[in-house]
Amino acid sequence: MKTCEEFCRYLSDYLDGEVGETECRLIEEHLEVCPPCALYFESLKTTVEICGKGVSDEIPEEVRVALKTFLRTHCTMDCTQEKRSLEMAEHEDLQHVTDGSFESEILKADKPALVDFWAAWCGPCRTVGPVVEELAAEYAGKIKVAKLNVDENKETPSRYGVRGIPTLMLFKDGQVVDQIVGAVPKSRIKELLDKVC
Amino acid sequence: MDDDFETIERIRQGDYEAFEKLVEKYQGRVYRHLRKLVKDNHHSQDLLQETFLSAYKGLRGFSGASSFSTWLFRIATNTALMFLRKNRPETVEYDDHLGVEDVSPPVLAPAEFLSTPLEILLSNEGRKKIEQAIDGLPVMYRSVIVLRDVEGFSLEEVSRILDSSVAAVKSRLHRARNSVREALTGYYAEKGFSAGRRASR
Repeated sequence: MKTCEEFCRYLSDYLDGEVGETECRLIEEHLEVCPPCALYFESLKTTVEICGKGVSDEIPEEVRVALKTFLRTHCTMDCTQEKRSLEMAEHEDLQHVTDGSFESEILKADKPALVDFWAAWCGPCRTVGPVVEELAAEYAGKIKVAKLNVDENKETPSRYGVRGIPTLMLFKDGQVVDQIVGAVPKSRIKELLDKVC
Repeated sequence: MDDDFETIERIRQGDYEAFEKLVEKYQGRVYRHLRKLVKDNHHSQDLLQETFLSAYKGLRGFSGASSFSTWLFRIATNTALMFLRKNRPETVEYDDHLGVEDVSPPVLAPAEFLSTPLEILLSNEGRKKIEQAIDGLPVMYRSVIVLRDVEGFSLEEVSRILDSSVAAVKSRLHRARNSVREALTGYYAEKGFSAGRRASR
């Protein structure tokens, strides 16, 4: 037999439809006979209801206009950079790898491989990104350079203990040779690559 | 939600107007989310810009494994949390103690809160109180209640956005709701609304 406090612990899950059929029935039976718990439940339900309706999603006009202007400026610039990096990637050796392609593209690569673990929301990753693209061109034929999005691919970062991004990890013959964590100067990454060239 | 994928495909083909359409659709919700996480309108504006720029740059890597809104809110959340870590480290303690027990004893009868009409609970003053109650929570509780109860994401989606387990989300949500409930109950008990219980309840 559960106490009132034990029942109350389930009420948030009950509201979300996250309790099993038997528990659901027990909770409903208890609420019918226990006025304090019924009041508690009503107040919890009201809280959830008014939280959903009580926080406005209105956006001030000046914020809306500033966002539009900011994006028009930066995204247009980005389009040019993106196009250049895409061209570079097509002509050189920059690839986007996934959990699924990691083994064939990196571990079984016929040359050493540098993997840039990154995410769209990560500011330092955006600093390192263009440098990695340049290095892909400079080391073409000698080192394979690839990027792996950690938001979209969780298995590989977990397997290699990636705890912060950007992480640049160097592989040779299927093994990790060395790694760099954080946004570092290009010269530091070149030092890393030169170890296996 | 499904029509987002069509819009995204157009953006990938270079249609910038399609991106603006997507921004128009989500900017209010993302701004609200950022505002609740960082509790500062000026910084929220900067983070809003950063979030959509990151989303634009990252669209090529968006696989569609989750919905676009889940993906976008994940970017917004991470952008806000990184900002808080950098600027106000004292406010980002993942295990911040909420200062509330798991659940209050049910003997605390919240009669005044329940007898307050919905139009008063959702009046300008009422809304302010809801926002204050949410703002009073540590960020990891705040983010959960905002994503689940304000934005309406499922528990599974909230867990993906916050990179937490569903069990952790449920536990935080339970405590966050209870804390907000207590804050509002206290406020309305003090005000002592005496109108009859709402007919709908």
